[in-house]
Amino acid sequence: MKWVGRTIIILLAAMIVVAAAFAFSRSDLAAQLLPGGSGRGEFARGEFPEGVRPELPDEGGFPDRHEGEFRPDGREGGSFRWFSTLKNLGIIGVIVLIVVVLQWTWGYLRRKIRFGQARQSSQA
Amino acid sequence: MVERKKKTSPVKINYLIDFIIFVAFLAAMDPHMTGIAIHEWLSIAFGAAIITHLLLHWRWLAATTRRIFSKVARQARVNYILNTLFFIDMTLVIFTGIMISEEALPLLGIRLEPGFIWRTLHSLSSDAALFLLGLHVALHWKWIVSTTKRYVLKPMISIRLGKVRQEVSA
Ligand code: HEM
Repeated sequence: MKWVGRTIIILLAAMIVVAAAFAFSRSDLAAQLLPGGSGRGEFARGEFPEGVRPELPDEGGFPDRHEGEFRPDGREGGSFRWFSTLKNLGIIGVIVLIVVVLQWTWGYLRRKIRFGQARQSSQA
Repeated sequence: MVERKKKTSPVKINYLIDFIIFVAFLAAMDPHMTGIAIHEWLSIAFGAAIITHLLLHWRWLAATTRRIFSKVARQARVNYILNTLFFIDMTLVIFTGIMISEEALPLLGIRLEPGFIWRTLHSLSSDAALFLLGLHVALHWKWIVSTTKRYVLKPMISIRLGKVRQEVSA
């Protein structure tokens, strides 16, 4: 019973986010911030301009448009299939490294400052 | 004689679930590798995994929520804010994913109008999720290292040592 209640609380919290996202998608702000359509049906399934969304999916079942001009971020494509996963793992690794180094440096400086203060007060 | 069942340590369970979530996230982040059908079903299941993850950390969640506006350690406050952002973002990723579903929902007979905005939001929020996951892992790095040592490296080393001892005595 305890778990059911907690799960409902989590789902309710998620529903608040969903409601906010829905409201945002209908707002004019969304149309201004995100170029390419306001979410009110433009660019919906089958309405893509010729060449931007080709009909045939690739062998992985993923639509070809990912290699086209539809997504210019270059995330897809590339001959090495694991490349993107390794890249993501690398990004996580770099973030972890930066945070761990920052935390260590912060701790080190704090210890140094405290040690310096303690020495000063014992000398005084 | 009463047989006593050995209880699995909750830390071990947490570790295992967190590892599965991490691998599933990496797979979900690369739909081109998995194909769109696996991407969608895996990510929907991922939602259930996140709920399990939150339920397993409920005590921390409830205690910190109660104290967040009063006295709470700085590290816990930073963690709490980051976790809240992460929760909002993951909800957004899964929700926008459902809105643009091409396999899972049509299979269930549901057809939504996949507006361009959901696609853009899906892409943006998944990028943000990668960044937030990096921070989430970083803030729990000490726990990850110590638990890996205890439950992965030590058992592996002792198995290896046992084998070497057997070979020596044989
Ligand atoms: C853990 C949750 C999820 C993550 C991390 C995730 C991540 C991603 C990423 C990185 C992309 C590529 C976006 C791009 O090209 O910029 C993508 C595309 C896509 N995802 Fe997800 N996703 C998740 C959940 C879902 C769910 C639950 C569904 C549907 C049930 C879904 C359906 C799709 C579809 C249809 C596309 C192709 C969109 C397009 O053509 O641009 N995703 N997802």
